[in-house]
Amino acid sequence: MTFKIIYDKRECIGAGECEKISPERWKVNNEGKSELKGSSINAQGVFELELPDEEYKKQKEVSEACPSGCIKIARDN
Amino acid sequence: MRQCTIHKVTEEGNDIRAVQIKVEEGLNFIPGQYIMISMREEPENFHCFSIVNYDSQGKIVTIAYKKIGHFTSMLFGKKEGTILNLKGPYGRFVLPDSQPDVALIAGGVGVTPIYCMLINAVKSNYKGRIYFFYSGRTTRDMPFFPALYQLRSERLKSVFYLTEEQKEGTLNRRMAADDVKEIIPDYRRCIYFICGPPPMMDALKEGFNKIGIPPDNVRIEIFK
Repeated sequence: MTFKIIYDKRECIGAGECEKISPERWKVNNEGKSELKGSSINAQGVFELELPDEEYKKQKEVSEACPSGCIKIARDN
Repeated sequence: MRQCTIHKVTEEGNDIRAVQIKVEEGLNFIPGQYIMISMREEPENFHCFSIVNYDSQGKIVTIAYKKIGHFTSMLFGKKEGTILNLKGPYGRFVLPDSQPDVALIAGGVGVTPIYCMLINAVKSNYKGRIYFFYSGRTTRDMPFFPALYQLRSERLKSVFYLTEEQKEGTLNRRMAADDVKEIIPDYRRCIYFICGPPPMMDALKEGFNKIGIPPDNVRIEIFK
């Protein structure tokens, strides 16, 4: 089972909560925008990354902690 | 989210205000970080403000802003005692734990995170050398100019630029990227923190790249 992170970098305000919770996946760059390691950009200009279910709980926490709401989680239940 | 109260409001220049905010339970933050504020009329409409100053317990924190749009115009009308909504602190625009030599570069109201980082570094006997560059059109466009102009420390070197005013001890022009070669002995190893108008930050980033400063050594804070 997998889930997807959908991340709109344009809305990122560099809060850094994502890096604080999940530094192995997220890092705020020198311009104050988070980078999602391993992700790719789709046609709508949004970054996506498919991950195994074991990472769901932590990335859900990241999504909920993000103050700008630019990180979404999608899972087929 | 929690609530806080406007404690005191002071004028800091042309349409620029400093607001002391009382946070009952105290705020634990790192200089350079910001908070998000919303007002009761529009509780979901949060805006980011760098923390400029603070008391020893973090119960009174100061933000400063220029009145330029809808939100800041509304905030401009708020008086002492007004309750605000607060989130944070947030942000990674902070000095490295290893305390290397740093250049803190501010343009106009972009001084807000820089001021906090600078004052804290001076007070806490930061190990590295600190090079402070502050520019603006006139001193009325540069919050906290008097305090920064008089700030002295053994490990601090400051340079001030005024493009539309003459003042002793300042340069009557814009900051140029090449200036760091004259001021900072080992400028390629220094870490640069820049906050100011986007054209200024873009010009300095490009200029720093041209003189061989690694891009990884340059950090910018864009006001959101």
